[in-house]
Formats: sequence, structure tokens, C-alpha cells
Amino acid sequence: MPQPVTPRIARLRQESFDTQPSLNIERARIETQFYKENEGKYSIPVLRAMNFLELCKKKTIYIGPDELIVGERGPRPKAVSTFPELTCHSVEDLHVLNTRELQRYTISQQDIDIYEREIIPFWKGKTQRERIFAQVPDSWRLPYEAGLFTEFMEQRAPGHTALDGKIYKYGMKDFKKMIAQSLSKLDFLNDPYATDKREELTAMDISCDAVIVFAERHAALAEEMASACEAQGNAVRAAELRDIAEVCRRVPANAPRTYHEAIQMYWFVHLGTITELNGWDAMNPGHFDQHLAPFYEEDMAAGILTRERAKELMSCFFIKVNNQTAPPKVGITAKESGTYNDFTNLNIGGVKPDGSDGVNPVSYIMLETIEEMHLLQPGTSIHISAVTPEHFLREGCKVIRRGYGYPSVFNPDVYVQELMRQGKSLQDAREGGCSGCIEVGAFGKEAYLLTGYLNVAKIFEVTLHNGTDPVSGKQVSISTGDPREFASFEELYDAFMKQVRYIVNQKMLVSNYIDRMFAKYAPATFLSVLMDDCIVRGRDYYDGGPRYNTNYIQCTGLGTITDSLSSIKKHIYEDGTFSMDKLLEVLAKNFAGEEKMRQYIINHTPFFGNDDEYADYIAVRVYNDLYDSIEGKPNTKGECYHLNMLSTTCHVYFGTVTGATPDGRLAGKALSDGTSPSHGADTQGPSAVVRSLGKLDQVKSGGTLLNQRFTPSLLKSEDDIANLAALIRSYFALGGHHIQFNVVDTKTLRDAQKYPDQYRDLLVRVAGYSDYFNHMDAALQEDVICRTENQSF
Amino acid sequence: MKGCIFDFKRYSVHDGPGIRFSVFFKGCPLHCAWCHNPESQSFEPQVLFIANKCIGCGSCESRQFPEKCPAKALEKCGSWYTVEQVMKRIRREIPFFERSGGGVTFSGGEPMAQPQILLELLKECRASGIHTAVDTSLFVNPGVLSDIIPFTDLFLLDLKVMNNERHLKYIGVENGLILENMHTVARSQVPFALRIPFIGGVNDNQQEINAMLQLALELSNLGNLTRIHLLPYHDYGRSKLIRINPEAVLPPDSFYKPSDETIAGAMSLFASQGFTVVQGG
Repeated sequence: MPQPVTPRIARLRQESFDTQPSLNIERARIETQFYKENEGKYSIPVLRAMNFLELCKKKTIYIGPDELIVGERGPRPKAVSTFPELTCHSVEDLHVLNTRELQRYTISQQDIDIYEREIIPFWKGKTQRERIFAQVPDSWRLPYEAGLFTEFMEQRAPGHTALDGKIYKYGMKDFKKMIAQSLSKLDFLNDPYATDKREELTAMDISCDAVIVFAERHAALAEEMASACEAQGNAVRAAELRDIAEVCRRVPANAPRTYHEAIQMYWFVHLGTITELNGWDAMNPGHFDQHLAPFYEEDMAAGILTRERAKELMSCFFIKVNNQTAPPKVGITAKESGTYNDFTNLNIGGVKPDGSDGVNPVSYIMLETIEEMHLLQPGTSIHISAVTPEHFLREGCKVIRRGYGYPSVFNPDVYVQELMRQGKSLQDAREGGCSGCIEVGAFGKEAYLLTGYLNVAKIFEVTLHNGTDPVSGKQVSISTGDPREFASFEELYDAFMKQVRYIVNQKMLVSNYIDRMFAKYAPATFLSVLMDDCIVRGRDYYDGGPRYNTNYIQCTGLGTITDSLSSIKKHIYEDGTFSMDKLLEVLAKNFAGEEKMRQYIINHTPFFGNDDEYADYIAVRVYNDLYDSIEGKPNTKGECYHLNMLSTTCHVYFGTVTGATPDGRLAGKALSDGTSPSHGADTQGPSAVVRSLGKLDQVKSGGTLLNQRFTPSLLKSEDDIANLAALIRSYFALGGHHIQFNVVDTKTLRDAQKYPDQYRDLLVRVAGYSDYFNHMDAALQEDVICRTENQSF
Repeated sequence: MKGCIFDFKRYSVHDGPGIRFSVFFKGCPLHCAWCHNPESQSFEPQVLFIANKCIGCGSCESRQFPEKCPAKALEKCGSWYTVEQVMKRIRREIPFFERSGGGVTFSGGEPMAQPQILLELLKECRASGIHTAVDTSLFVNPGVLSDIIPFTDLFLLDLKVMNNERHLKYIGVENGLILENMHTVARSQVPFALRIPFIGGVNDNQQEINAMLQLALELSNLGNLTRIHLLPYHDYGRSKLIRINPEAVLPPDSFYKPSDETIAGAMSLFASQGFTVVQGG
């Protein structure tokens, strides 16, 4: 295995890997105290910004003895903050988090007591989550509790964006000037929103100060530590710390001048956004290699940077991201996203704003860093356009071969089209990329909020029961008819689509309401500084400030629903092998005593993923109809909803609430993941799978996700790597948005289940991110194992 | 015109260069004792029984209707296809061929035992710019071979046993015809690779290896020998015998995988003479 570039990195890496995530209550305490003293005195945006400033002033800062890039969200690595203003954990929640086996966050009894005494009583009745759930209608609550969809924003703030290159050109002082300019232009006579804008802009200004203060504190600490080192005779470390102090005085107040400053600049900004709120997908530098390349080249030419040092700093950055564990989730949200991973997904390669190839020396440094670090975070992806050199793709494939689950592979030629279809300009589209799992966005200029997953397979289940959830017996949706009375497949499909439209509308009406809750009660005043055009418009990131404002609904289970419809169409309406009545009876029994029928279905139904016209036609039709039910529906920011096709871990959760399905899937088992074929459904190899996926018009989506599992034996030689690269290019030429590979054989995975201690570092691909196999619950582990394995003979 | 084919394999990466589509013809004039696709030997369609898929539902009183088996434990092996039916499948793979330098590999069984349809398929592929490879034992009519050669971009030639008596014992025929055809292929200048099933107890001894080396040198002087593949014996084929005849009682396996030293020795011997030699594929 490739070794970390320096011994320092080996130490930092090991520390990061070994540290158990813990819950830290400091943020909650500072915030609670601040709110006690100041709530009601200021407008909400200003209050939030001042709260942010207070946190940056008061929270314990940390500089490790070995570090070069500095700053943590908490007082030390993997100390995770809570955000009681959004979701206040109960004492029971804290105990669960401390003791649960998976995604555990340790917390002392003493801290739990403080939480009980100081934090919980203050926030009771005041949290965003309570506000949200107090007013949701039953027509939403019933399907939500039944598992027909999830709601991302009920526990965490929306984030869902990535940065463009502006922080490498402008520092906080420059942003303050822009804010001042915007303030000076406010027209209190003619603009009815001038006052709101003033509050928001004032808040943004305070937020800039907050991160400057935070950095200056690090500079002071670094100086202190330097003096201490000098006193102990450690001149080398003293000099490093003085450098660090200088960097922290320079950024983020000013634009960076060097590669080191550029990385630290991004890092302070990242910490700022995850301190202000706990937004999904943390923060993301986007096309980091493209942004760092000019600094790298200049520093190398000036002789102040070596390639080794550049990799060392990059490694430090990777470790920093790994130290920021995702904030804990409870309940349904914990199940839809059961991981420590906070989804920072670095885009490597790709195209430049002028459309030319973006691969540069830093791209290769990043590939090497991925191999050497082999940590849970950050996520990484290579972006392969027609203009991307083959050599870069091959080198990326060699990293994929290692089986870390990173990097995944994206297709700029399709996602630039996706963005332009949505109305982005060519320039903005090319500067965009994919963040989180696989969702596409105009980096630095778009709020592309994922609102939650849609359980398409269960919507069909409810259709088969005329609006009732057979698991609970409750009426969770509208009546669309008793399927036993449908004379044709078309009637059934029609009823299904009526259900889809109804459920989508239920989801949207509450997501829209929650959108407004965030705009009103929890504006992201620091994030707004970084996103065009919030400063110019004087509006918050959640309130239509960005140039583009998108909401997404993620559709889950395409494989399962396609296979289920295929089964019914063929066996009931075409061949008459069994009746609808019989099918419903058998599904209700979970196929008990009906293994023959189940096997017949599994072995005699055209399934999605085999380049089979019968099944693929159904997949295309469902996809297009899902698109029609979501696309273009208005959001609260003057723009609209789009669809994308991913599942994270939600296909496992959705599977647990969905009964047996007509494709032969047993009750409780995971649905198909992402946009991939159902587990075991694809039997014709990866070229057939990509041809099936290629029939979907993916440009209409905001992202799709295709998971494929390969055994190491299929990727051993140079020829094998060349073939993998060719498979990727072929899929992309067929219109594919994304593909990712798990390269691990079943034997290893089964072994890891039996002897987890020997496989602590076994990282596998889940959805748009990787996770430790040991951290996954048994159901998700089975899911990863089941994903069809491609093996040559 | 139809051909009896028992398998198609997509994303085939060990049957020639690039990503390939492999077509497996049913029927072989030889009956090598170690054959790992014994279901390919008969020219007739057969029904196989795959025991570990069987769920014991009892709906298979007659094995004449394998398509009715719910669990697909009964599998029809071998169906008749027209040229167009095969070409339709091949054409779906073109995007992958183009980007990987791949193409179609005709294998089996013995593809040249159905020469008419093989030739038609090769011509169609050639007309569509698709790279063609033929994987053959060369126990074929020389006239057929000379028809096939102009439309073949790559030959994958089995090299089994050099000693004629041993060849007769294990394979059922003498090897004169095969050797003659090998020279014909070499002289044609069409690139060819040698694929040696390396069978413990049969051809893993020094005389055989030396004789193979001599032949390889001869052939490479005549023509364009690209690679030598050494394919150590494995016993996956034996379980397939049970699929063909579930009542069969197999004698103990008289073959074995040669030792790692033997394999390494053979490989370095070939390499020392300047050949590109790979294990497997």
C-alpha cells in the first residue's frame, strides 16, 4: 500500500483514523448563553450572524503538534457539535448516540447532565424541528411515517452546494467592501424589501468578521506555541508555527497568495459554514485542483514549494476533512443517511470554464493523496470529459482498483448539458460539477437543495392497496381503485401515476413550507457571502439570494419498480400465468409457501439492467413520468423542482418499510440502490448494464447513480485497466452521468462480517460516498455484498 | 442458414484484446479429457440440470420443457440462431469495441465445425469494421481454414499435446492435421496467439514443454505470433459433467494443476526465448 508522503502525515493520518467521534456540547452552550442574552434584540439574520461571531470568538480552538493546516469545528478532531436551534437532542437521544453500535458518538454523563440542565430547557418549543412538525398536515404525516418519502430538512439545515473560485481572488475584507457597496445602494424609498436586505447584508458583514476573528485567534495561538517550541529548543516546529501564524493572519481576511494560503483559506471557510449551521454535505471546494493549480505553478516557479510539500499540504487537508465527522442524526434521518461521512466530494479533472481540459499537476497530486490517505473522508471523484486525457483516466482507474470506493467517475459532457437544460449559462454550467453524492450544481452560484427521497416502490405498493399501507393498515394516500378490477396494465399504470403525483405534491407542499422556515428562522448568513448573487441581491442563501435556486426530489428504487411492473405486465396481463388476486395474496404472505412462484418470477421476468427492450422500455417510461411529476413545479424562490436519482442508504431504510414486491423481492429487503439495477437482476455483465442505463435521458435529471461491483481479478493487468477505462468512456458516450465501482470480492466481505476487527480499514462504496464496512448495519452490509459481482471466468 | 450456439458472453475480457463479445458454438470434433466446457462437445442442443438452483418443486417430470422450470435449474444448452440474430447482438457492443480495441471472438466448441455460418458472421463483422478473433483447435478441414483466414483478424490457437501418442490417448485423434493447420495460419501472417492448457500429468513434463517451445519458435519464424498463454488446469469442468448427466458417477480426477514451480519454469523458458507469455486469459 502506498505510504503517506511524510512521517508527519503518517502520524496525523493514524490519529485521525483512530479517533472515535464524540459529541461536544460547547457550541450548544455558547449558543444557548448567547440566545439567552440576546434573543429578541436583533433581527433574526443579525442575531444568527452575531451568534456565529460569538462562536468564532469563544469556542475552544485547537492546533495539533504536527499540523500544517489548522482549525477544527470542535475543540479537537472528530469532536462533533450539536445545533439545538435546529434539533435539540433529548437525554435519551444522547444516551442512544453514546451507546449505539453504529455511528456512535461518545459523550460523558457529565455533559449529558449539563445538556439536560442548560440546553434542553431553553430550546424546548423553540427548535426548527418542533416548528416544522407542529404544523405539518396529516396528509403529509401519514405517508412520511409510512416511509413513502423522507424529509432532509427536518433535522439538518439544507446546504447542498460547493464553492467556485472566488475565495482565491477575494478575501473577507473584499467581501465586506462588496457588502458595503450593496448596502449603500439600498433604496429605502422605492424598494419595499430594503429593510430586510439591510438586515441580511449587515448579518453577512458580521459573518465576515467572525471568520477573520477565528483565524486571528489561530494566529495568536500559533505564535504562543512557537515561543514555547523555541524555549524547548525545537526550532523546526517553531518556524513552522510562525509560518502558520502568518498564513492565519493573511487568510481569510485577504485573498491567498500561495498554495498553502489557498488551502488554509478554503479550510477556514469550510469551518465557518459548518459552524454556522449543520448543512447537508458540509462544504465542498468543488474543482479544487483547478483552483489550486495557478498557486502551485507560481510557488514551484518561485522555488517556495516542492511537489512533496504540495502533497504534504494536500494530505493535511484530507485529514482535516476526515476529522469533521457528520453531525449525529436520529430517527428516520439517521436511517436514510446512516454514516459518519459528511459528503465533501472533491471534483478532480473535468473541464475549465472555457471548456478545455482541467487536468493539471495538482490533479495527479490529489490522486496520489487518495491512495496514500485511504480515509473515510473526503469523498473524491474524477471527471472524465471527451477532452480529458486518457492517461488521467487510467491513473484514476488504478486508484479505483485499490477498492477504497474512491474515486467515483463523473461525466462533465452530460452534466454541463443538465445544467444548461435547467437554464444555467454556459459559463456557470462549466464551472459547476457534482457534489454530495451525485447531484449537479452551478458551484458558487446555486442553492440546489435536496429535499428528501421518494420511495417509488412503496408508492406502487400503496397503489396495489388502493391508497392503504398494507404494513400498518392505514389509509395514507388517495384511493385510485382496486387493482383486481383493472382490466389492463395501462389502468394499473395510470393509477400508479396518480399516486405518484399525489405523494409528490404532499412532499412538495411541506418542503416548500420548510424552505420558508429556514429563510425566516435560520438564514445562512456566512454561506450567503460566498454564493453569487446573495450580496448583490441582499438576500440569504435560503431566500433566493443565489443566482440559481433549485429544489430536488431524489427518486429511489428504479430497478425495483421497473422489475415489479415488468413482472405484472408479463405474467398477469400478457401471459396470464397468475392473476392479480393471486399476486396480492402471495405478496401479503411474503411469498411464504410460494417459493416456486417467486423463483418463476425471478427467473422468467425481463429485468432492468440487461439491455432488454421489454424491461428497459418500462424503466424509461417510469423515469419520464417521474420527471413529469416533479420537473418544473414551482419552489418558493421563483424557480422550480427537478428530479435526481440517488438513494444514499435510504434504499435500505425504504426496503425495511416496504413489503414483498412483484419482482420477487422479499419484505424488508433493500430496494435497488441509486439508479442501479436491482441486486442480482443484472446477469449480462457491465456492458449490458450501461446500455440499459444509457436509455434513460439522463440530461433531464440532476444526477443519476450507477454502482457496479468488480472483483480484483477483473482489474489486475494493464489491459484490464484499459478495458475499465473503455467501459467508462462507452457509458459516458451513451449519456451516463456517473459510475462508481466497488472492487472487493464476496469472500473478503463475508470475512469482514465474521472478523470485523481485522477489517477496520475496509472502505466500500455505498452511494455517492464510501463508508467503513464495519460501520454499516447488517442490512446495508448484505446490500453491498448482494450488489451483483462481475467476475470473468 | 442457422448455427447452433450455446452461449454469448458480453464484456468478455479474456478472449482476446479489448472488451469483446464471445460467441460459443456448440459441437466439437474433439473430446479432450480435461475440457472445461464439456457441454460444448455435442453438436445437439441439450438440457443441463444445475442442482444447486433446484428448489425441489417437482414440476420437471419431463425434461423436454426446460423453460418451464421456475428456478432455471433446467437450462437449455444450445439454440439455433440465424446470422442476423447473432449480428443484432454483436452490434449492441460496438460502442465498447470502438473504445477498447475489442471485437468479436468466435469460440465454442469448435467454431470451424460450422463453417458456413462462421464465414457469414466473419464477413458481416468485417463489413461493419468489427475486429474478429477465432478461437480454434484447428482440427478442421484445411479447405475450411483457407476460407476463414481472410476474414479473421486474430487466431487463438489451442496447443494441447505435442507427443502424438499422448495426443491420441487424451484427445482422441492424432495431431498431424492440427500441426499442419498451425503452419498454414502462421504463413498467412494473420496474428495468432497460442493457448496452452497446462495439464498436470499430461503436458507439464520437460519433453512436452521443450517440444512446444520448438514449435513456437518455428511458427514465430513463419508468421506473427503475438503471445503465449499458459492456462493451468482447473476442475470447474467436472461439475458441468454432472449438469449434463445428473446420474453420472465421476471417476477421481486424474488431472491436476501443475506446481507453481513448473508453471514458473515453463513461463520463464518461453520468456527467455523472447516470447510474451501470460498466465491465463
